[in-house]
Amino acid sequence: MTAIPDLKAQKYDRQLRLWAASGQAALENANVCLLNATTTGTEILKNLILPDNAIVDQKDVSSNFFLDTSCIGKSKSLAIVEYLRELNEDVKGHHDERSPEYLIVEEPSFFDQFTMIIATSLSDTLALKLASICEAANTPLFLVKCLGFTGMFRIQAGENTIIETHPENFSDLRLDMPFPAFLEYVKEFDFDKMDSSEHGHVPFLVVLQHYLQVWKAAHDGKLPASYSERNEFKELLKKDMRSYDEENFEEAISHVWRLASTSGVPSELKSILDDPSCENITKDSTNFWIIARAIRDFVQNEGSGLLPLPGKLPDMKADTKGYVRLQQIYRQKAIEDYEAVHSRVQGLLTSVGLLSDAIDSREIEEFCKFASHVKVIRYRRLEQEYLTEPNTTTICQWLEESDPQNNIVHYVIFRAADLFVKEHGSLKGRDEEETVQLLEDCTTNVLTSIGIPNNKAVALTTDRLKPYIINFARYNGAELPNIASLMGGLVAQEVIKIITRQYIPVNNTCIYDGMNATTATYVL
Amino acid sequence: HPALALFVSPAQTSLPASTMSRESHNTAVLGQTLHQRVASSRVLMVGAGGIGCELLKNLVLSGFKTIEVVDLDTIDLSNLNRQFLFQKQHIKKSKAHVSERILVQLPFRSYKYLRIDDESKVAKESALKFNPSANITSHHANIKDKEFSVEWFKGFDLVLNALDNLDARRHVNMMCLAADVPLIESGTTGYLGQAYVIKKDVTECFDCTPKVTPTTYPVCTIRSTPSAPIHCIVWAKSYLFNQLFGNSEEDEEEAFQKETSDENALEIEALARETAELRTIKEAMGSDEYGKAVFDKIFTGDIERLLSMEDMWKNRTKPTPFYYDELAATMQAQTLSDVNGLKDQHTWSVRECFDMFMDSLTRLSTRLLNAKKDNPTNILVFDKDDNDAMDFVTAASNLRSTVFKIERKSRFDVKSMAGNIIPAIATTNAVIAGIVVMQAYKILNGQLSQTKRTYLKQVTRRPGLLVLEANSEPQPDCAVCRTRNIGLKIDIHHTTLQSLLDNVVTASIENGGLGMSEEVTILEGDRYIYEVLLYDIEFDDNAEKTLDALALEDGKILNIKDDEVDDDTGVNLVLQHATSVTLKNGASFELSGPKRPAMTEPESLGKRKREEGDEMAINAKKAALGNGSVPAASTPQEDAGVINLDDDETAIDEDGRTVKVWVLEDD
Repeated sequence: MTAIPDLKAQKYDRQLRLWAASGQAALENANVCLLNATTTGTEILKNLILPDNAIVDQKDVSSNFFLDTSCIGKSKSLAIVEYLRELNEDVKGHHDERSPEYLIVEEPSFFDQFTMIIATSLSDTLALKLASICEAANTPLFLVKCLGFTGMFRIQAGENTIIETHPENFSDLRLDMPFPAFLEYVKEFDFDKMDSSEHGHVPFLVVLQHYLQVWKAAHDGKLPASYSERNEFKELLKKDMRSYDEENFEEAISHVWRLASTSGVPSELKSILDDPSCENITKDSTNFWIIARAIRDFVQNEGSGLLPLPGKLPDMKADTKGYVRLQQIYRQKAIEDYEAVHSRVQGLLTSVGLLSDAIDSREIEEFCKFASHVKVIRYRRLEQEYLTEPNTTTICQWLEESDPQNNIVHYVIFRAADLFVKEHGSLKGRDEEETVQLLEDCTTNVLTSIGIPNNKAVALTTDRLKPYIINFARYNGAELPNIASLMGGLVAQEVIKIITRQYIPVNNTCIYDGMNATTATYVL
Repeated sequence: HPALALFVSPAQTSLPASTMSRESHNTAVLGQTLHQRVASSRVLMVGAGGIGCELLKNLVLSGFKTIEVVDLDTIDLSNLNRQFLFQKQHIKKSKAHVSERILVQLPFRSYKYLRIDDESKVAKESALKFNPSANITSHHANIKDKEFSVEWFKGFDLVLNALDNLDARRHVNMMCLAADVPLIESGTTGYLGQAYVIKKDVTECFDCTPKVTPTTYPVCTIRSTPSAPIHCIVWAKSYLFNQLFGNSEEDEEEAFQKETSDENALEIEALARETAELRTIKEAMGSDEYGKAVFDKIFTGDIERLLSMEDMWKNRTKPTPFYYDELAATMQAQTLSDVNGLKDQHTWSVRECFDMFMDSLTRLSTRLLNAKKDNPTNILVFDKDDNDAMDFVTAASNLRSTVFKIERKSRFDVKSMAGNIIPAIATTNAVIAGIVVMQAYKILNGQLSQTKRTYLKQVTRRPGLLVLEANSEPQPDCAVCRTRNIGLKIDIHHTTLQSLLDNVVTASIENGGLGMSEEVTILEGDRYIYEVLLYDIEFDDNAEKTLDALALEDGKILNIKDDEVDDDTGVNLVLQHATSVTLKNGASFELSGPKRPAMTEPESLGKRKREEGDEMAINAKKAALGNGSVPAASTPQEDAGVINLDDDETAIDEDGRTVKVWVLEDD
């Protein structure tokens, strides 16, 4: 007999501690496509392959790579796949010699097989076409660019709903609205009759609630509402401490500030619960929205305005017995709330003609636990950014901000560089001065295309963007290995967040400036 | 079957092979001057784990030519998810050596995937042009070894930390300060990471902000009155495992001496007896009765003894002993259930724990007996990645938890708590390694003062992933970096501590000494060598010993503080052995470095008020000498480099409280 965890669990031990088995499964089920195996592209793949555990059917693995060795560009993808396989033998990669352009223009259905598409150094024209293919297929798309000391990535991922946002240090103590079972428990404590050891081991939640009841009795049933009232309340606690450093009372006092906010539905969650997707549940609604609706109905009914109790207690000074009992009471309430939500989910599922157990109970449980922190991101489409609804006013404002760390300038220059290549050919191997001049014209053109008046565009180019253009020209179209490594890390991290639907991904553009070592994110 | 399809298409804008090489890429972006400096610099990288692998790759690709790597570790399976230089066949081999070999022997095979712009040239040219083979030196060694002296550190232009523990970080920090070499410190945990520069007299050093030291637990909590799973895990890992398979007799005696007080004297005595009894039982190791004897002792006899001490349980939940025959008669457990393919995440039943305890005890005993055949002094050391050891600690701690009515933990959780495991992923390491190279560029470009502390954060309320913070100035009272470093050449075989005190420490500056009072404290690392305030026989003994007898050898650093001076940051004496024959004019020693503090405080302020504070100081020192606690099972925070974010927007959580961010390297 042995409990040796399977090899898989051993190998992925460290990351399992971050995103758990469900996240790992999501990673393993992903189909990722990398277009253009640039330095940054391969760094991204390396980072994705190391944590993945994947097998692909090999029917398409090209057998003719020997024929292509004379063609430098074409043999690369195979070499990469070969090497990456060495990194993680669980992964079997697949390369293709067809150019991204051919696939996007001539064979868009090719992309249907993927759960995620990452394109590096793709021209804007092709990116727009690919983005609409992805939008139609509801496939998340990452567009990555990296030159010299700068890099950026843009995510287009439709509607992204996240239950497991992994909030730090969150707890829902409900000091202002204790639930009945807990209040009953608090009443069991007779503070006056305790010896000093017992007194010092009453869990602070009980201490707080006990004294809140005392306070309410003396204040027309009202809680200490103002800052000065809360201070007064603290004094009440201090007065009854048996020794000057009684830890549980100190803990209670340190949590008094929480009374400043009231339990209820946080505003961001409220807008999610008011969303039309939550209102109109159909058989096509995603699990997220169905559970969200059940939560909304719960809040309006059983919850009396409150969310399901997460049931998690903070650490506190208490004897084991007291703590365990408190834990049981909180857990019991959390289970009751969860069960109420669960049966509402089942009701909703049946009402739209789905099986009542179509949603995994674990997902409902997680939602109940993290309800106050769930997140919905609706990514703007690339087409909106470039063509139909450019964020003109905001981009203009960002550009005019004098903060030198405002990385939006690199966005404009990357777009100008794309225009440059389209109109004048490659950036590489050119005279620097000529590049600067042409790039300036392109920059102005990009600004006008965004909707900035021509004179302003010219002024921005010469006053604000010129130094960056000069630097960019110096890069001579080269990728720097350590910047590629860094961008590869940043992008892979966001890819993993989107695939595992855990943690909050960037919305929607992230720009890195290596000179200042800054990143900035923008909704473009 | 689950499948991740990787589809890779060729780079669309590939170049004609002849136009550029990586070298020219780097030159184009960095400029000729910086590129040259990079190529001619000498770099030390300490640690070849998660960040280390990424960093070494970046260094090689970025044109660094002379790199030395030091790593103590060997490669483990759980490293392979991110330490990409290593593959399955490297398990159990030295990290430092393997990474050297991979980068040296296979520089372009390993990196061909990165060299996509000039693949065809790789084979022909770059091996010549870019071959790092002569330039990476690896040391499979502990960075604290004496061969890595201050002099050795002085041989580098830059030191890069890619470490996973507080102790080594502090050591490298101290050495870099003493050698006055810039250090780039970095660490990651999960999605968070950081990198920043440490330079003597310019920035804060690693020890300018206090670091949380590992939690320790009182002996009695661990041995007699556990109340949390961690107490039982510490018991299983630090006490039981060592007693049965290691050799912790001395440790325990020491711990007991330190902690004995009037109230617990009896209990401590009883615990010592328990330990002795266990030793007797141990002699039967290998026999058929051995397992039952151990079980009866620790889960029945010892618990019954505890129960007999009624005072102990007045305010505590009483434990309930286990009886071997009763447990053995309970229904045989199903084979360990495989929950979602991750069986170590499931919490074992009592019966499962029992079976596992007996089984792992046998496995470990057999291993120990076999090892002793080779060498009778062989012992087993707890290692979180040793499956037998983890099975044993999980089973034993869970049985004990059950006895004390504490919740049981899954093997996965026990491993976290016992093994100081920090979540680690490839992506964060890649980002941080990229940042470290940028910091290195800045330093080599003479812009050290412009570097910023860089943090990789999660997207929270404020958009953005990297957060910058200006470097702080050194803390004026930092005992580590505000200390003057003075080289001392002296004959360590013939100089006693007393003569060091008389001739060097207390001798006046005019007479060539340091001019300190007689009330000094001398430390070597965390070890107290001499202390006047705290009277101790041992220190008197030390006085007559020679320096080498006190293990004060070449390269060791003695921190000397004058207790007569308030807030004295003291001096660091960097020892270098020299005989009077080799010293100038036949002198008995030679000092080099600033003997006076840079700024001397007015005499009236400098004098210490004797009355207050002395007792506290003594108590604090006593605590530092060892409080007799059992070493704690580390929490993930144990070895953290603490970051205090001053930027209130980034350091405040949803509840409006200030949060600390812990950042570490993985192992």
